[in-house]
Amino acid sequence: MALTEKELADLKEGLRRCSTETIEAAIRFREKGDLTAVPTVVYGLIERYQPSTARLSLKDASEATRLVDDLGLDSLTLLEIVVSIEEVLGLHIKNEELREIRTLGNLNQFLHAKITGAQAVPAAKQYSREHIALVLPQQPPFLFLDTAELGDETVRAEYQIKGSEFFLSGHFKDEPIFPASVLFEAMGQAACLWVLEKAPRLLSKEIKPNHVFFASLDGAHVYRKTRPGQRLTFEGKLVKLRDPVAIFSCTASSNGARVAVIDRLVLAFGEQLEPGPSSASNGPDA
Amino acid sequence: MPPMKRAVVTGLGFITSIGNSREEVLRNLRDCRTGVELFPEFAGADVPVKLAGTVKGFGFPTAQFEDWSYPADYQLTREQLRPMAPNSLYAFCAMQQAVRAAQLAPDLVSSPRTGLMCASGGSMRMAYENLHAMVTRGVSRCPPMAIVNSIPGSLYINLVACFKIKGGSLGCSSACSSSAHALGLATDLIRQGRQNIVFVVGAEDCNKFTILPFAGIRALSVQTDPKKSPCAFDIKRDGFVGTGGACVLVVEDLDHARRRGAPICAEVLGWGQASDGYNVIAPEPNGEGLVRAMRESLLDSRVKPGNVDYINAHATSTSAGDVAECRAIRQVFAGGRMPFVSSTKSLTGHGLSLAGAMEAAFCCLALQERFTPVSAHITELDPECAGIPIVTQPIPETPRTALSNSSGFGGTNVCLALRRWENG
Repeated sequence: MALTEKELADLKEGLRRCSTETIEAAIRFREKGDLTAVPTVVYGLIERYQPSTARLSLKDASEATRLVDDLGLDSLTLLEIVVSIEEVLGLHIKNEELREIRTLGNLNQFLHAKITGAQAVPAAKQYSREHIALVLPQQPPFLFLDTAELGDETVRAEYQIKGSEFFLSGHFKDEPIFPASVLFEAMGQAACLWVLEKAPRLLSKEIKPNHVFFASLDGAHVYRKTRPGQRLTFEGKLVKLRDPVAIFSCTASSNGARVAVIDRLVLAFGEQLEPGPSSASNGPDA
Repeated sequence: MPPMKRAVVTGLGFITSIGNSREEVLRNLRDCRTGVELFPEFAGADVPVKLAGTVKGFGFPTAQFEDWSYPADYQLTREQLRPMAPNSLYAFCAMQQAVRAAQLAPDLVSSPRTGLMCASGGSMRMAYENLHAMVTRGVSRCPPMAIVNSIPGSLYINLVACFKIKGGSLGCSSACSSSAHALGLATDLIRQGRQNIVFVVGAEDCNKFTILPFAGIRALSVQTDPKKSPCAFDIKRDGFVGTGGACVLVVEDLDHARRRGAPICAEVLGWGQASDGYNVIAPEPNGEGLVRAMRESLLDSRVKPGNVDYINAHATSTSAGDVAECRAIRQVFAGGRMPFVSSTKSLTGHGLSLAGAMEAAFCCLALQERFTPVSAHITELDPECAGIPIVTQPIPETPRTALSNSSGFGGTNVCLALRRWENG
């Protein structure tokens, strides 16, 4: 339905300093309900508010691009963008919905679901370092996750190599390099977080924090040295969950470059810890 | 108790109707050139008031900061400008001038020993626009900066963040004596040794939302000729002319200033304050509150009335206010030498919360540069001002000790005492 003159004027006012392309997309959405126009409007608004000091330009962004860390949008700028999105697209975003939106992908999915009325795919739950420390038995100085998010069968975690880690002064002398063993440990901690948070409900079984143990790993490779200042991203994918084991494949990367992989990481849980490595590593995957 | 420290002014910054730099302000004060002109915002036939002390070089065509313009000497990031109202933008510029004039390194600007005393009436315009959006477009459309860009605290909120102020910070709110209070409080902080440096900032928007509400009590001049009004102490005065802008004084502990070899403009000897206890708007007819404020100030400063050379009067060019102040001055200085008196508001317009800081800064210039500011546009003195040497023409006398008076709604009165800096 065609917009009235006033609606059109309000729309243009809400999109002041946005490109013509953005305004046209907004009109297309409002008049024809064209869903493909939504990302154009959102990107147009982000571009209009993005500070020039941001480390990533929107044209180099992907679905995984983080609104705050990569695009340099502080909380107030995010609010400005949200208010404009609400106004231009004619919808209301609740505070609690906002909290789960971290990446461009989150935002696009959220808006798509909101507009079509489809069941929104709940964004992965976010964990801070403090929250992680409440769940995991591993504690500083032996906790190697700063943030984490859990999906149904995935875990994604990050760790900033600070340089102050106690072992770096000896690994190696005069040349601090993040140890491979700790890389594998970090991936194990990420997987452990998934097991403690997700497995109990799936298995209808209580799992105590100090009852999750490393069982085995296969196909472990390291590709790059990493040093203080680098940010590590760990991604784990559940391959199989069968009481009392969970099997993951994991990767570690830094700035998009592959750092390490584990083809098959096995965690075992339960008081009676006798998983038998053969059944865990060679058992049928189905 | 350790002996009180001494407070000196080591830097000034000006965004005023008579100039946006120390040099320009000094020239216009000496040459008695007005900053008042016909204000385009008041052009409408329904606006009975036509004059304002306009701030040059700034533009605020809308309430959206991205539409604003300001002199190219100043650079602000989007994050700095976004929560501002015009008054904080003026103040940002005046702060930069003052920091440079006082030769303050970044670690002295942002230090736990450096504080910030601000005064502003807030931004009526931003408040209006924000609330208008909230009422007409819905609560969730209320602009995110609605509070921080409008409340009276907006000024210190913005400056603390922009200049990373680490010491005490405060927004003073006592109507037209606000920034005089700010300077008084800053002086005490220095004298008590609680801070080494305190920025004193007065700032006010210059637009119809800040100025025209005073038309409701007929306090504004309806004169249309900027060569005739405002004219404090003149029999033809018909109200004040509004202005905005910002002034900054860097108040510093004398020992601290000496240690770092800072340029000293003047000493703040002390101050006094008192209230009329009389009426929400009208001044007590005999200026009793102001009498007590001036006596407090002289006592605090250990200055004998006969040693005061000059008073920068509050005198806004209203009928009642100017008379009450003249009566107060006569009472305080009766039987001795009368100081010269002038109102620099006749050149600048009345800056409301900005007035006290602006006029104290003018006093610093008069003391340091050795001249007595003229009270402009007087053709026929009000007989009520008889017996007071009001400076209607340039005079050769140069003041050594000056008072700066400020009074505000509610009958609040402040008197600041300043002295020329001579002992290098």
